[in-house]
Amino acid sequence: MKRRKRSRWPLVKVPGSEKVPFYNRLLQRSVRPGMDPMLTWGTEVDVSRVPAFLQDASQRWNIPLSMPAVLVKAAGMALAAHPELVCRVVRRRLYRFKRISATLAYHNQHRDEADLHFLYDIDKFSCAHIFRILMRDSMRVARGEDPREPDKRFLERSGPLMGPILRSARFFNNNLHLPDLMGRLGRLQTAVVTINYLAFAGAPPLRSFKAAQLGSNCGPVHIVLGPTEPRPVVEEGQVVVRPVAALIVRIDHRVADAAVLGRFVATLREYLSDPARIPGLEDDVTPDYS
Amino acid sequence: MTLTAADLTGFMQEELGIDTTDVDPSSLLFTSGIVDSFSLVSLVTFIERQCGFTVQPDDVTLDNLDSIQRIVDFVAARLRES
Repeated sequence: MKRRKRSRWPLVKVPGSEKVPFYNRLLQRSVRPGMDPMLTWGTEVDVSRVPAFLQDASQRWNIPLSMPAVLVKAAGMALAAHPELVCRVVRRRLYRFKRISATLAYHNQHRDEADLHFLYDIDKFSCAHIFRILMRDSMRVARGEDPREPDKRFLERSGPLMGPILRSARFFNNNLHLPDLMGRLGRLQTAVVTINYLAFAGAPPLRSFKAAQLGSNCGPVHIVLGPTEPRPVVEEGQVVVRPVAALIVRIDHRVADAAVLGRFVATLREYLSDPARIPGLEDDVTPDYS
Repeated sequence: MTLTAADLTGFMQEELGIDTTDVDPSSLLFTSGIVDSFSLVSLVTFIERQCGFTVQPDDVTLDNLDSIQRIVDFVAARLRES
């Protein structure tokens, strides 16, 4: 299979014709550090078709397929269908990400704390491939191979300079077209979307969720899928009980407005309510494990 | 090192909190929903710890892991190879 060389530069400048819309430009100029330029859209997804899909796909692909892999693939294809969201703000300009990469939050059982999976090209990999990458990374963590070790060593070596280094990295990342120079920390900055699948054991029903915004302008899209619960739904005028999960999407308002967000959420909702309709479920275009 | 059906049943009961009363060696673990995806990593880690080999991502298939008997057969085959 053809392997594509990874560029260290994750962003490409959006041509002048695709400048930030007028009101979004006002936002860019007025938003100062500490202010929150985020738009959030929460909705519900009827997931009654998901168990049958997982069972069918598992048997077809001979893997115990799980929902996180489907969620990552759905997010990748929804972003591919709405490329206007695959951008981030650097100073006052929009830059387009060359690849649709994602971070998926998970619970690191080895250290009993939250950590992030990082995945490249989630729109190009098959669902089975994404499952295997997640499995590989989870197994590494379970064996005690902490993916954050290189970052920790780098920061520990910097001693008292750690604070200034991180503040400088944030400044350059916010104001310049920064390549991923800082190992895994740098790679995490190249993710278009951060995904939280919050259906862990004991999770209460989700109604609203405000994800933390880190001190950088990167990661313009944040997707949260909550636990499934039986809820009343109206179908053809009748109230019926269906398994429903909360879907909450947050974007950077400087990148797009509520109309774009709404269309993106509608696409993602459609894919999650019937995963068989996700395009490219079985396609592997340019796998790259690096 | 080896792994028996009783080891696996004990692990599922004690560590994963699964009621194994109706689980026999041929019961489908993932396909039928007895074991969920969150427990998959714990199960594979247990197999690695008990048997002393590394399970590769490509080995995580229903053919190898979807029942207690398949897991026992998979482990036996891997141990024969090594």
